[in-house]
Amino acid sequence: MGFALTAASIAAAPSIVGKPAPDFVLRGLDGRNLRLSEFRGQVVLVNFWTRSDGNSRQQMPALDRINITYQRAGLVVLGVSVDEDLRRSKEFAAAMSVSYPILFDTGSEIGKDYFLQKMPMTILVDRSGVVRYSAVGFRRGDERVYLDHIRELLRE
Amino acid sequence: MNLKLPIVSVTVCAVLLFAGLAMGQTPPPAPAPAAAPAPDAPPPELKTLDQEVQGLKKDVVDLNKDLFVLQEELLFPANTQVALYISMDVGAFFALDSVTVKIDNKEVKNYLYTAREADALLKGGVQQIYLGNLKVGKHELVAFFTGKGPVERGYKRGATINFDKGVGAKYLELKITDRVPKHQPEFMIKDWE
Amino acid sequence: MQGVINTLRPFLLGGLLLAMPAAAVQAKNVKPDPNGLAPHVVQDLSYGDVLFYFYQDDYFDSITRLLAARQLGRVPHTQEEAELLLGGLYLSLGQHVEAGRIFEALLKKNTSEFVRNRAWFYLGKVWYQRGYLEESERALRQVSDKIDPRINAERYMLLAQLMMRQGRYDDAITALSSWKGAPDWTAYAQFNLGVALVRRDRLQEAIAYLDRVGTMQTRSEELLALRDKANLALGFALLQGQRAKEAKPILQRVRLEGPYSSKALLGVGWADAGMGEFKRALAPWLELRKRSLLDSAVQESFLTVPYAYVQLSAFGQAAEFYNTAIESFDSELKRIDDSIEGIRSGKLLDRLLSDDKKDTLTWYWQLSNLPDAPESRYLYALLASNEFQEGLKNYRELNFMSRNLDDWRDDVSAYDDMLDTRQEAYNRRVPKADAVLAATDLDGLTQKRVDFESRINEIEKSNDVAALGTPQEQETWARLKNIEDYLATHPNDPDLADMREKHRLMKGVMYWRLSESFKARLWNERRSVKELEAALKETQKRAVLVRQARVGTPLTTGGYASRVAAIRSRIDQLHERLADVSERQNEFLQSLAIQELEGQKQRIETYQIQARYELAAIYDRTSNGPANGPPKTTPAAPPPDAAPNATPSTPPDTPPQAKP
Repeated sequence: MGFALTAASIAAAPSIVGKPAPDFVLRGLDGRNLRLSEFRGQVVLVNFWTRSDGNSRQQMPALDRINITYQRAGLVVLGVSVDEDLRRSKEFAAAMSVSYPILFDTGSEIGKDYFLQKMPMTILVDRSGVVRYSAVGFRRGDERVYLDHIRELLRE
Repeated sequence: MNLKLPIVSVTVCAVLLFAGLAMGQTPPPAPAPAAAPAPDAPPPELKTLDQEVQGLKKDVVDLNKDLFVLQEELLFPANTQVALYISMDVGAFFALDSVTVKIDNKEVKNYLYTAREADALLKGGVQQIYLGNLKVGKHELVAFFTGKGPVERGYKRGATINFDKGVGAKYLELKITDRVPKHQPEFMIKDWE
Repeated sequence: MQGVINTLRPFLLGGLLLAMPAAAVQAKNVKPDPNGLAPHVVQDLSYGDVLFYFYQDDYFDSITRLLAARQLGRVPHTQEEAELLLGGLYLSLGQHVEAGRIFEALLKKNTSEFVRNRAWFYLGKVWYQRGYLEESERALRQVSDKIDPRINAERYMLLAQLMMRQGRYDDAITALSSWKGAPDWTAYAQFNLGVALVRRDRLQEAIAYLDRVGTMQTRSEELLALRDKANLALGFALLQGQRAKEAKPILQRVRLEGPYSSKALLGVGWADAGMGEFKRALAPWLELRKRSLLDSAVQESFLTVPYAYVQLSAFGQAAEFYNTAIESFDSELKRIDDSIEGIRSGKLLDRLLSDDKKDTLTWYWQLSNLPDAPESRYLYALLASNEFQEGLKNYRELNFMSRNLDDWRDDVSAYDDMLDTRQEAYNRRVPKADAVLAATDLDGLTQKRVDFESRINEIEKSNDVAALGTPQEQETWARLKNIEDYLATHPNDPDLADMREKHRLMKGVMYWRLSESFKARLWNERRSVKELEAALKETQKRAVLVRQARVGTPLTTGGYASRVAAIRSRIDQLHERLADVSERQNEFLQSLAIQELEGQKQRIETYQIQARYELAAIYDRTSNGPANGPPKTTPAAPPPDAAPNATPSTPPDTPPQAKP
């Protein structure tokens, strides 16, 4: 089942889609450390965001709803803040108060691994650990597109 | 120009796919042990003390050989000179959060532990946290861990060791243990020759 | 002068232009106008299929498909239009009874005005072609004038036609006079009207109409021919009315290179003769005489030339010409005899159809395609006749259908073979299928899968990391276990302390690694189970199919076999009937042709007798001297066919520019 880039994804830059998701372990808002590869067998949505990009205010609630609905079906949603200002980022995250883990990355490795350029970037990792979808930016209604892909991946 | 009646031939499918039935993934039954034979008890009639001792020695030698082989395979991949291991031996609950290792004041590892990983350590798992090369001579290793004990109490403990790197390989075990006088988790460093 | 005219009379009476050869193609040989049906979006696939063949002039196929579609219930939306089309197709194929039935059925239903109009029209046409003129008129009068103008034009034509056939010329005149149609149709109408009026001895009125047609501007070949006909008809009508002076210029309008030029030349000669200008008359007649003796006008000229000479008292030349005529007639008679022989041998029709494209029932059979054979020259007129054309068409269609049946017969044999083969194949497969079904332990396999899945769940729940190790890892793990067991038997041995530690370390490392890989491996196992499940489902489906096929009724005792047999016997029966009817049709056509030739023979013989008679009279005269001058005998009236006939001409159903 192959769908690679959608219209919303980064066209020019090297793409992470189709490659195994580079593993990472990050500390969460709740103090727990989470490692991506431990979610093998589940579908993972990773949302890279910064406090300054305006879309997060819209996107995070949408992702929250998705998480609540599809968690039971085997979906994992992870938010990863790549903000340099850790404190502010944490404050923001705490205020948004979503149901899924927010992780914080202060090193820059993950950015390179995932070819992060513009924020926010949302990726979907299949059960086998391969990135299957990637999108940059967020507009109201994009979550419907995520859901289409999520459902497909959950069926695998 | 003639109207041909379409004849649909129903092919009786006699070929069934049994592909999926090749269950290659079935976990095989545990293979019969190959090496490490259990020491055979010598027949009772030949059992003299001398023979007993001889027998024991032989067993030990065999065991050693096996261990050594294992050791080589497990602990010393080719070309590595230095290996660091993390293990845990705690009586009370302890949730390990992170470990940082510096050699000669340079951070060589900073590892965050997930709940699962911490649990594995608790169950006796040993993490090969670092593999590297060091010049022959004296070196300093500094390591500290962070974590949470019962009642959410946070710990941060460290340990230092100065060691001599000889020509051969060296491996060090960093054990988090609370079987020490204060019954608080501490880092113990063991130098394995 | 009166005497001359009187001697001419019988000639002219005999040669009266009462009926022109029906060279114009009759209604039945022309494509039915598909525009009789309004253009529409084809709503049913089957109907579109039918139209596809229809537009390729494949009427037989169209009908076949249409009937099949009906039977299979595939033409719901365009039901009525399909019925109309079917009726029209039947009509075109000459199956009047069928066509009539369809249209009557349509009229009984509660259909739209559009459909009703057309149904009435076609019904009227059906009646007309079957000769039920009263019924035809009644039906045609039901059609409202709101119908498509082309159809309306044909309607009026048919009405006028049937009236003329009933001898109701006045009514025909009234009908045609009051009707204003398209110019082309009007020309035909006026021609027919003119002829009708001539027949009623209303020459003066006839002149008006025929003259109009005779002077019309046109470039179409058909209309040019009509114009010639009109002028010819008018010319001869005037000749008959003793108005030779007026006749001549009109006859001169006829094209010299056209099909009626011979008759026109004859007529011009008569016009001159009628005015007493015998010398002048010789000009066209001598010209005519040079042409082929097959033409009846030419035959007549063989007599009229010496006749003129007699009138000019050039008896010597007259006698010569009479002699030549007698000889030429002799040869011609012989040739006709040969041709009759040729026809009797049965080769006529085959020659006529030899160029035929045999794979469709395409309509247009041109007279220009006449094969180059002796008999065909004589039969030109006959072949143009409606009766012969109909007969020929029938013969052709019978041939076509016979070939069609042959094809089907072959197919049916193939079906039989097919059924046999299938039965055999089925018989062979049954034991195989049984074996496979027996060997397929689907339940066992499904159970294994279930067990497998629960094992995975167990492993997950208990976090049994070792269970998912690679064979190598498992081996190592086992070795470690052995060492552990051994160490356990000597728990307090201090010598083993070191070893114990090492073992602990190694087991720990192994454990950590197994734990790291656990999640990924767990997923792999689960995925395998999923794939296994999919494969099992497939297998299950196929097992069901195999079972179903296994149980299916054997073929030879089932519906197919009996249908094939029934069809085969129908084919055979039809074939026989076709052969029979074909032969009879052939014989009929032959007899028509022979009849025609006999007729021509008779005419020539009559001319010959006349020539001999005239010759004798000349010899008499010359031997007896001018004083005893024999009476200038009236030449015997030539047989009625000497001059062209004037039957009402019908244009094709569609005016020339109408295209499907």
